[in-house]
Amino acid sequence: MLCRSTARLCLSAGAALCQSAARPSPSAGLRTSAVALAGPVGAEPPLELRPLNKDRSNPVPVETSIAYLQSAAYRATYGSEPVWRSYRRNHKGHIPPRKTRRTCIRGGQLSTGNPCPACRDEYLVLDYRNVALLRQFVSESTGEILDTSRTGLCQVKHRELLAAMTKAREYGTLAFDVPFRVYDYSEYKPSAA
Amino acid sequence: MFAGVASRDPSLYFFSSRVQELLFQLNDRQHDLVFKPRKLGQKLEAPQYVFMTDEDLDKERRRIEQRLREKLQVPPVLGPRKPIERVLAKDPRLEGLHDSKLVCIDISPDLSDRKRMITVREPDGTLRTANWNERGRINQIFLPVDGRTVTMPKMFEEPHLTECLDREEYVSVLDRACVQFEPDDPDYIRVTSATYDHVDAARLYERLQSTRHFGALAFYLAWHRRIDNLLLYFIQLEKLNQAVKLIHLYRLLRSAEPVSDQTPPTRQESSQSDGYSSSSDSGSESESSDSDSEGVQLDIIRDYIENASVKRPVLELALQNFQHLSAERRRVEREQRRADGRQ
Repeated sequence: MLCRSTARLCLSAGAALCQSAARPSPSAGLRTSAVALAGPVGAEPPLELRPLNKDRSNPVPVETSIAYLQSAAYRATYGSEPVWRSYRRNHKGHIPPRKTRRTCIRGGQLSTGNPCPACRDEYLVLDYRNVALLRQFVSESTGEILDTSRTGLCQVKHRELLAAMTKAREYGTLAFDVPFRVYDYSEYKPSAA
Repeated sequence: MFAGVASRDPSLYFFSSRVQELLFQLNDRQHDLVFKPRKLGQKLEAPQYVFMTDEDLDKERRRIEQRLREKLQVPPVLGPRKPIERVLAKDPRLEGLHDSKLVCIDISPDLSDRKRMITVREPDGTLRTANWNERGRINQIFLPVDGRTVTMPKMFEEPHLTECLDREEYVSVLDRACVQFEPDDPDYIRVTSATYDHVDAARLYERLQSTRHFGALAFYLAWHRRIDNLLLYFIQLEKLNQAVKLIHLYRLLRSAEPVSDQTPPTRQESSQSDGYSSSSDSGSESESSDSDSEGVQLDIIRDYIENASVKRPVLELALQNFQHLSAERRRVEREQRRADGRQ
């Protein structure tokens, strides 16, 4: 769950890696549903809440990101929706600027309030092997890569996404449709002996 | 690979109308799957509802049948291509003029890509025709085909190809191979053979059903005399029509003389295949229609199992199961009819 009041990611992915049995203290000052944290009786131990980490100087390995996308922490944070669904850009006026910001990360640190969906969660790594994440940025109906006007990604992350998608098509990790090739059989028939 | 012991050329058999008709009939041809839209980034249109007269409806049905045939056009099966390089001229006085090769291509749009002139001037002055690899790249640079890359995508190299096949993305691999390669490219033959082998080993034939690749798969298996798994699949699904057609295809591809449209079915073929309608050259044999007796179909299948199959016990068991099942079904139907009659 995201705390809309402070626009901070409440649930850190580190929780997936070390789940503690301690309940969150009531003085944590975070408005989030305790139901998502407690879970049903006899289930996995409740997830740990951690303060937001702004440091992006140590990139997370792809394997960790792939594991994160299957984890309980990810499910509690995003549910079954794409990671960009709950993001809303902040801008003056009712029409957003045509381009999103250039980058959310400067000097190895998050340097904006309301960072874009890929920057705010350090465990979302846009890589050609991270197919579960890449698929969220492809349109269901037309197979196109979604524009930043829908996803809200900053320009740097959007270019990383495009690079990852190109590599995914090159290595075949992401299946996609190609045009139907019509053959002219007369070009291939053996010439009459 | 399509290079057999005697290096028979599959293209001599593939283009015969009888083989083509068999490949078409072996396909399930489910309209929903054949006409499934491809996601190519195009703008989606809302469906249209049209009032039609009976004549319009018939015309539309014929149009759909025609489009079905086009969608199920099987990619040509050819043997691996032979080298095409030949020296046109040697000019040793041009040595040292350039430090790289120069390529000349005729870009007239009405020429076939396979036939257009592409020549290379080497730095040592030799003028020669381009080899197949160079032809493919230069054609793609000057006359690009949508969906094709200049260099071969890494997905067609090991280990990525095996990873794709393990994820069971057969249609995706085959469709891309059709766009990327020419049918006689050794890489195309390698990729498609690996895919068909994987499908055969995993018995996932339904992934290719209602696609153009099912015909190519059936041809590949029949050519390499490995139809037993596919035959078992058809028998277990009680599709005896398809099983008999597959056996017919197998026999056609085994015959010593290449099948051409002019040769009538040989006496050997017609004696083996009692259920087949006779001697129609245009391949309109309606063998194994539902009206053909099941007994005839079973005879043909049993004949194959006894004489030519490798997995004889498994196939015999499957056939027995089918016969028991259909006997049971007939008995139940009879009793149902009797019970209805009494009421």
